[in-house]
Amino acid sequence: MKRLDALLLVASTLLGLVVVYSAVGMGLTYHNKPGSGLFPFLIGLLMAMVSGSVLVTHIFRVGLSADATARSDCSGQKNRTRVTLVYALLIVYTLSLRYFGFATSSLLLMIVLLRCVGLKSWMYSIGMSVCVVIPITAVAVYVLKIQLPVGMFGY
Amino acid sequence: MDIVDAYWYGFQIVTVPNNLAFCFVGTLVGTLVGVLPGLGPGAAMALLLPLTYHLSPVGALIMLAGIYNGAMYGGSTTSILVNIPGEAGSIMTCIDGHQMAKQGRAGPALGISAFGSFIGGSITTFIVTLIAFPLSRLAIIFGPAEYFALMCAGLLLLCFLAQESFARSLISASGGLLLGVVGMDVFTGQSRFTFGIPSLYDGIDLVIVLLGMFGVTEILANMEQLFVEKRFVTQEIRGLLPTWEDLRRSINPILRGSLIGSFFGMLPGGGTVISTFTSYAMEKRLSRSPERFGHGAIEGVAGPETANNSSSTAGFIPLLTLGIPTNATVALLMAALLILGIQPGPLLIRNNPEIFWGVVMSMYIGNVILLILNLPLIGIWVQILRIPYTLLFPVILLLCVIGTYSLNNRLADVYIMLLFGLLGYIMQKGSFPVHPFLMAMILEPIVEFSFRQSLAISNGDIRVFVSSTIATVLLLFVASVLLLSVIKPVMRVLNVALQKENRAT
Repeated sequence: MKRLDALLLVASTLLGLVVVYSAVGMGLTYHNKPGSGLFPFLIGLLMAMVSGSVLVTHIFRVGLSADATARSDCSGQKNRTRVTLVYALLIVYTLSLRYFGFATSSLLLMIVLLRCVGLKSWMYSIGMSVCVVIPITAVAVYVLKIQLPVGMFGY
Repeated sequence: MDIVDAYWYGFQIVTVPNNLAFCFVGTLVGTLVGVLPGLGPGAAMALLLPLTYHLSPVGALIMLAGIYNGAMYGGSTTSILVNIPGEAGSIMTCIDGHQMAKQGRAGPALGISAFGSFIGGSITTFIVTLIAFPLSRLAIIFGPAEYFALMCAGLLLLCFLAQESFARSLISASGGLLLGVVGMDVFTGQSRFTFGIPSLYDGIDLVIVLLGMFGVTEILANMEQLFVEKRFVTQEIRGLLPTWEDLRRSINPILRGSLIGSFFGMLPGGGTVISTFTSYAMEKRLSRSPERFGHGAIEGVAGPETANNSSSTAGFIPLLTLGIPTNATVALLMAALLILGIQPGPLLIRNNPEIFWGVVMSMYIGNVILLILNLPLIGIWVQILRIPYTLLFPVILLLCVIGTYSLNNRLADVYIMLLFGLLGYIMQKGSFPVHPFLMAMILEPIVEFSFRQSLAISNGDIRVFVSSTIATVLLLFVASVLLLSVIKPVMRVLNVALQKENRAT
């Protein structure tokens, strides 16, 4: 059984059960009418039941080969590293928006992405980033009048 | 208003210079998006959704419909020239389209694809107008119980027809429904799953989730094939007009493709993939020389391409008449309508005829624009195809951030978008389809409202759901499919256990 599959099924079963529990706390009925918790209760129950039944099937190692959608996730360790790198850069980028503003952070992000992920030269990465980020920022701010995050440099 | 008056009314709306410009821009952007592999129509529409807040509802819808139809056509260019489907509906076009291109017949392949899309789109638009009136009249008699049953059946059908397993689609859809529950309960004012975070009291903004799950998720998924080499057809593309022989071979597949696309496009979850697969299989089966399929048969391009465009157009019927989106991209259109304060459904024709007929007529105009635009501009599309994804994805990311931040000027929204991007990626890796999740989230307020309204009217008596034949039949279908989905895996376990025991004895 794939580890990720198992984890997701366990997580969705638990989530369903937690929702059922919380929904009961919200109240299933309200003056003889449906309460706030009734709909989440039913959805949580459905989620827990379906996830649970799929999980049980897998635990018994039945239908593993029959499940046409269960793709192998063993391939492409290198690709997954790239995905992780991009996501990590995105987290750093969003956190930096508060301090450096949209223009500076985006410029830095794009240079790093082009250099480290796109494997382009430093000159190409810097040049292309300037050519892309400045027009996008200008259109957003001056044409579409969107207020973008402003950092310590004021832009 | 009879049908001729309605057509004329729609034509007047769409030919207003602003709307015509929106239609043109939408079709152009859609084709561009369809041509670029890795940027689907859903992602493009999600990116442009925040911009449509500043437009009139008719203009916004015309532009988004143009993007959708344009992307369906643009995807075929990539399939034929590079053998990479620009979007899922163009997968079948790769088989014979690329073979034709390798034989130096890229021009006729692109040409027949444009004609097929035009004819299919136009026939289906006509069908839309014929069906919409009676369907919306029928839907008006629906009460909350019938509406609830219809929504449940629609969601279930979507899960059933999804490419991934039914159980996983169902789990995904329940996740979307749960997400829709987050926020203040409109009936009692009680907060649900907000964890004391004030920004969650209004619920999670749909656009943030859409940008995360369409934009960021697609980027993360595409990172895995970042350096897959594109094999272009290098010969010069000439002779876009198909020969008489090509037209003779294609006319029946085009007509059949229109009908197949119209039928499957109307089913929730039917979508472009099933219709193109069915069309291809049917053409191969009906052909006197099926051995030509896979080696550059023009029927293998004409049928699926027509079905693809017909299916995307037919998806508007359930949306505009019943308020049910048939796939995630149509769900985005529904989200746009809801954001603009318009309730899609049976009352749309009566309350907002300008939107209904404006959008319907814009499909005709859009098809003409597609035909005029695509054939002469094919050289430009080929050049655009050469833009590397390494340059494209940072731009998409920046647009996602701008789109999200512009909603409320809150950085927290950008964090939430990133979180949903990761969730979408993990779901994809675990074979949990993202589309039922998004559709369920969009439909949740309507499903819950009709469910609770029915119970409130009947003072909590659940027999209200079986008080009418329509609701009973629909809910019986829902219940039996749900029961089957739980019983089937358990039966499989018992079966194997019994077999093991038999073998042991």
